[in-house]
Amino acid sequence: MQPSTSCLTNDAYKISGTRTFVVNPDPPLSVSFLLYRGKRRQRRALDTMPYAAVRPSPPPQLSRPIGSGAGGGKACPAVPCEVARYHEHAVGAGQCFSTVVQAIAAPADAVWSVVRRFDRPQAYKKFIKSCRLVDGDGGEVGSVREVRVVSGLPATSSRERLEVLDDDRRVLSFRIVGGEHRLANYRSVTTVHEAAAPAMAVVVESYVVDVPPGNTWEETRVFVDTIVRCNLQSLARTVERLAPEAPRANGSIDHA
Amino acid sequence: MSMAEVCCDSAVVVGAEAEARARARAGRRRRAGVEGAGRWNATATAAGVAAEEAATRKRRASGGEAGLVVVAKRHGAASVAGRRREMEDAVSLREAFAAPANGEVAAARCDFYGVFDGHGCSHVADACRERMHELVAEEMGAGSPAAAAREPASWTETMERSFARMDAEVIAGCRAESGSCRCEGQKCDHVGSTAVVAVVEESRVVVANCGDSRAVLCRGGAPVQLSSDHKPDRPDELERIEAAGGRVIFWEGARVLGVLAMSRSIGDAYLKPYVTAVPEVTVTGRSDFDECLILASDGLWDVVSNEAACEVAQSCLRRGRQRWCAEAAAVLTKLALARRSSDNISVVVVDLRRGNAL
Repeated sequence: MQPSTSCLTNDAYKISGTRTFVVNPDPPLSVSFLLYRGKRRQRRALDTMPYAAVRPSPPPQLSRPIGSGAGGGKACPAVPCEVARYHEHAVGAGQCFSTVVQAIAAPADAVWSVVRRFDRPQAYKKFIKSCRLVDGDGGEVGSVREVRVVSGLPATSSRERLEVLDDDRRVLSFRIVGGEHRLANYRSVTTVHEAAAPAMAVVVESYVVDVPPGNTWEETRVFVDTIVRCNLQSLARTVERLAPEAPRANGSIDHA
Repeated sequence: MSMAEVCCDSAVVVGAEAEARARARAGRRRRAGVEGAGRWNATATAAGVAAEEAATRKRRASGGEAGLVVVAKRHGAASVAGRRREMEDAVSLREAFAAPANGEVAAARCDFYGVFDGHGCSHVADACRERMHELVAEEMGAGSPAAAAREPASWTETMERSFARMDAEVIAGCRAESGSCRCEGQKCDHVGSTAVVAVVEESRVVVANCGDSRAVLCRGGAPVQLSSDHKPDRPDELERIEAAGGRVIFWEGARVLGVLAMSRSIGDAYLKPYVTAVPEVTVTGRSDFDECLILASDGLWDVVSNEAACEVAQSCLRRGRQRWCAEAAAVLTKLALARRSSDNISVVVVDLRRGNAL
C-alpha cells in the first residue's frame, strides 16, 4: 500500500528540540515525526498507539562496546522533510513501531555505499551468516533475498523483498516475506543523512512489525531494537574502518 | 538412511584398527573442535601419557563436520557437529598444564579440561580452547602458591580473573586462527561461548562454569552436578539481569533481551552488562568412590540426563577396557545424536579413579 501522504511543512521542520507527531484521522493509523536527537536519548511510547494502554518504562540503556561509533553527545539534525515520509509507517493494532539512530564518523556517501547493498547485508549485519538473491539483481525494487542467521538467535532464516532503493535520497526499505522467525509483517526503512559536523553521518532505521502471540509490544521492541542497534553499531565500525582508505571501495568477494 | 547408519558415521569406538588409521591420518588432521595433534602430543609426552586421535568418517546424512574422538589413558573426548551445519564447539585437554601447589609431589596430577560451546561464530570458542588453560595457569602462579592446598576462595578468585581476562581478550579482538571463522578479521560483538572448565588435582576437582554447558561427577554410580546452568530464567540470574537494567523475554525460550538463551558467556559484548563472564566455581574433594568426571555442552545435556550419562560411563568402565573414557565419550555422543539433539555435541570424560597413574 502507498505510504500515507502526511506532508510536513517547513514550519514543522524549523521546530528544534521537540518531537512532532501528525496523526491522520482516517484508519489505519499513520504516524509521522520529525526525529531530533538531543544529548539524552529518550524513547517514549507513542501516545497514539491504540493498544498502549499503559506507557511502558524507558528501554534499558545498553552500554556501548569499546570502539563503537561516535557517542550520543553530538546533536544530530532533523531528518530532512523529503525523507521523513519514508519513516511514516502505517501502524495497525497489534503492531510495534520503533526507530534506532546511529551517528557515524564517516561521510554519508561512504555509509550509504554499504547500506545500499541489498545483496550483501552481511557486510555489516553481523547476525547474518550468508545471503543469496532468489529474485532480481539486488539493485531493483522487487528483488528478493534469502538470508541465513548465525547460531544462538531465535531465528534460522529470513526471506526479504526490496521495497525502496533510492540512491539520490539514500533510502533503503525492505519487507520480510518469509523465513523461520517470529517477526511477521516486518517492514524496515533505513536512511542515511549528512550530520551537522563535517565527515559525520547519521543513520536512521525505523521498522514496524506484528507483536508475536504471547509477547508484549515492549518485549517486541526490546528484541528488535537490540538487533537493529547491534547492526548499526557494527555498520559504524565497518565504515569507519574502511572510510579513510576508499569510501566507495567494495571489492570484497561475496561469501554468500 | 537408518538412524543406526547415521550414528555409526558420527563417532566410532576406537580399536586397534581405528588407532592405526588415526596414525595414518595424523598429518591430514583437520581442526574441528579438538586441538592440533602436535601441540597436544608435546604436552602429553611431557606427562608421559600416550595420546591418540581418531577421525571419524564424514557424516553423509548432513554433510556436517567430521566428528572427532580423542583417546588417552586418563581421559577421552568426542565432538560432533550433529544436526547443525557448523561446528562451533571446542574442547581443550591439557594434562600437567601447571605445576602443582607447593608441598605436593612433583608428579602429582594437575590437569585442565574444558568444553566451550560457541554461538554466532566459532572463533570465541576456539580462542578459549587455545588460551583459557594458559590464563588459568598464569593466575594460579600469580596467587599465593605458598599454601600447600589452595583455599576454595582462592580458587574462585583465580577462576574469576582467568575468565575476565579471557573475556577481555575475545572482546578486544585477539583471536585464534580458525579456518571456519567467517568474520574476516572484524571485531564481532555478537559472538560468544560457554565455558565449563575443570582442574583435576590429586585431592580435588575444581570446576568453573559460565553459560549452559555442565560438569557432572560420577560417584558410586550416582551423578553429582558440579556446575549450575546459567539460564536467564534461573531466579537469581533473572534478578541480577533486571537489577542491571536488562530484560528477560520469552522468545523461543527465556532469552536475555529476547536474543541470547544463556545469562553468562565469554564474549557477547553487545549484551553486557546483562550477560557477564563471571564463573561459578566449585571445589570438590575427590573420593575413592569417584569414577569419572563428565564435561559436556548442552547438545548432550538437553537430551541426556545426568543419571543416564553416569550409567553409560559406568557400563563402559565395567567392560574393563583401558581406554574406557574415550569409549564413554563416544557412546554418549551417539546417544545424544540418536535422541535427535539439535546442537553441536562435545563430551569430555576424565578418569578419576585413584591409583590410575599407569
